[in-house]
Amino acid sequence: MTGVDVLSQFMSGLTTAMIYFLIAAGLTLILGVLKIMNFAQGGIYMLGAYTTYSFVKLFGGTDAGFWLTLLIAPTVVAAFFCLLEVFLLRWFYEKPALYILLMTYGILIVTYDLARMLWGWIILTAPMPPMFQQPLEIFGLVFPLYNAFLIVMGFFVFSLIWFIIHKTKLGKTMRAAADDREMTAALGINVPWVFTGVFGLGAWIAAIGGALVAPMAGMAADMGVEAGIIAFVVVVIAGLGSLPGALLASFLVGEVQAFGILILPEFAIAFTYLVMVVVLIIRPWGLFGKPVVIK
Amino acid sequence: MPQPGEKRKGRTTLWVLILIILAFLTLLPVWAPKMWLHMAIQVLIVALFAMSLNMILGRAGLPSFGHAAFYAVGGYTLALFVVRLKAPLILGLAAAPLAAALLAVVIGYFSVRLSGIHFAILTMGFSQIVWAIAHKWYGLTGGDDGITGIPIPAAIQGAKAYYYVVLAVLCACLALIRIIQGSAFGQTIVAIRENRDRVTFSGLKVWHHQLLNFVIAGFFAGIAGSLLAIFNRAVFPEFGYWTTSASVVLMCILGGVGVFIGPLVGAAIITLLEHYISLYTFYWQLILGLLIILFVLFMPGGISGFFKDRFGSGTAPHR
Repeated sequence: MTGVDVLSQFMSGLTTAMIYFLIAAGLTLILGVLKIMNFAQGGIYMLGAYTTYSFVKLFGGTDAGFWLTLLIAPTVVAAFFCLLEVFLLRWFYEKPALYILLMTYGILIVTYDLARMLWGWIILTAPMPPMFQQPLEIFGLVFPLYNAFLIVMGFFVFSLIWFIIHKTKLGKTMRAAADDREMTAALGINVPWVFTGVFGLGAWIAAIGGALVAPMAGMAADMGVEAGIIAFVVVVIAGLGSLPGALLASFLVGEVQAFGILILPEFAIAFTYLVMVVVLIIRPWGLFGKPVVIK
Repeated sequence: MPQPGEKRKGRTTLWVLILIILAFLTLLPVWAPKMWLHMAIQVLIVALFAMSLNMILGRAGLPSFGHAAFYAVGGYTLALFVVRLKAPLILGLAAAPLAAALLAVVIGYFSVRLSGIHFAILTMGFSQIVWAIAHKWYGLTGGDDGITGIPIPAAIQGAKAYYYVVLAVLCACLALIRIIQGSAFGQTIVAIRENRDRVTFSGLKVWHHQLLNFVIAGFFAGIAGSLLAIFNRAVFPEFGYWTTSASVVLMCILGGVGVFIGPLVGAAIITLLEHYISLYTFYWQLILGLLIILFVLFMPGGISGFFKDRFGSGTAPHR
């Protein structure tokens, strides 16, 4: 194996890592603040991809259309899920965890069939925007420019969320509500709306993941199942609620898969879970999480 | 407060009801067409699976989202014994629940100390590992093709005969589960769910109890898995996928976790619905999903809990 091969594999691992990160980042954000596991996250990602397909088609596959879509499509999906949060989820935060898990599972399977009804059963691919059609050459490696763009976008979104959480007043409110709901509410902050906002933000990020993957890979209604579960693995490895952890764990999972395919093709997915086992056994609360063991 | 006499009367009604249901189930093969019998076998197997989950979900109040792991391990153990080792079926049947229980020791060791969402995530994580092994280890488990061609002794090859086997196993397991739940141990599990601290103060080792409960539940799930393997004459990785875990959780909730036979009712409803809705439309998942959402919104005690609240004595614990 030459250096270029290794680099090529590394870059492809990085590309998948970024997609996993975008789904997992939303998941971990929702988990960290709302303390709920959102099974629908994979469905949000899938809807993000499909709406992107529709908007890109609507705008005629131009560069400007693509940029506009990147703004509109995830926002539309996020708005839809904000509505779901308001009408379906917010009544169950104080109830046993089971109800919310089932509720999000119900939403997930509804999104599959919704996508099948709206976009059909065939596999779709959004057209690649013209400006990304030529390949990029780095160190003798020919690499699709779009993948490079996706990697950059991943880092951009990471910085954006990090900035929102740590440097803005909104982020401060979010962290306060995550820490102590009652006290935050007592300070005159409308906690339910903060939760809706966080859920919307989480959905928005996952939908961006879907939007970015739309021109790259074929989309099917069940694309969210596999991606959703990998994002879940990422969150477990990272530690629940940790954003930098999610970034690191995504790299780990993406690269383990990329190089795992080279070494033992059969076991590429199993490797991912192997990483999770090792982490679960050594640090059940994840690489960046805090121990939650009771007694 | 119900009077003692009233309570005894309630008991008698209950026994009569149980006898009627048993008689109905025993006589089912006499008149039911073969198709129905196949559905019935499936319902009974899934019912046992759901009942085993409810020991964790309802009794211990721990939201397990990885119960399919034991189902799969039960099925795969049987298949491996019979197909790969050429062992007699009975040996495979004995090994399946033991293997599932052994796995439950490992998973339970790490997860029962946690509760709520953390417990759900950890159990789901472990079960996905089981799925990944089944899905990818072609040499042992046949990968995504599963293991097919499980040889079945002639005596239970017919649907009728196998129906009675499954029914007998289910009844035996239900009786056992009932005895366990009524025992001091079973009561302690409920006490831990209601107030963990007070149980700890009274000097009991909380997590030993919960681990044992988890292992027993895994054991019964293993039995269900092996029965399904024989029914299908095959095992597939999907037995252990997380959606299987989620759907069995759904059955428990739908039927009602606070009522003994709740999961059984839920298992029957979901299995039959899945079958009949998918005959009419491609979009049965949409209908199932909407049902889930409506149920969580309006009937959190499940169907049995709903009726028990209105017509029965006492209140069902809503968990």
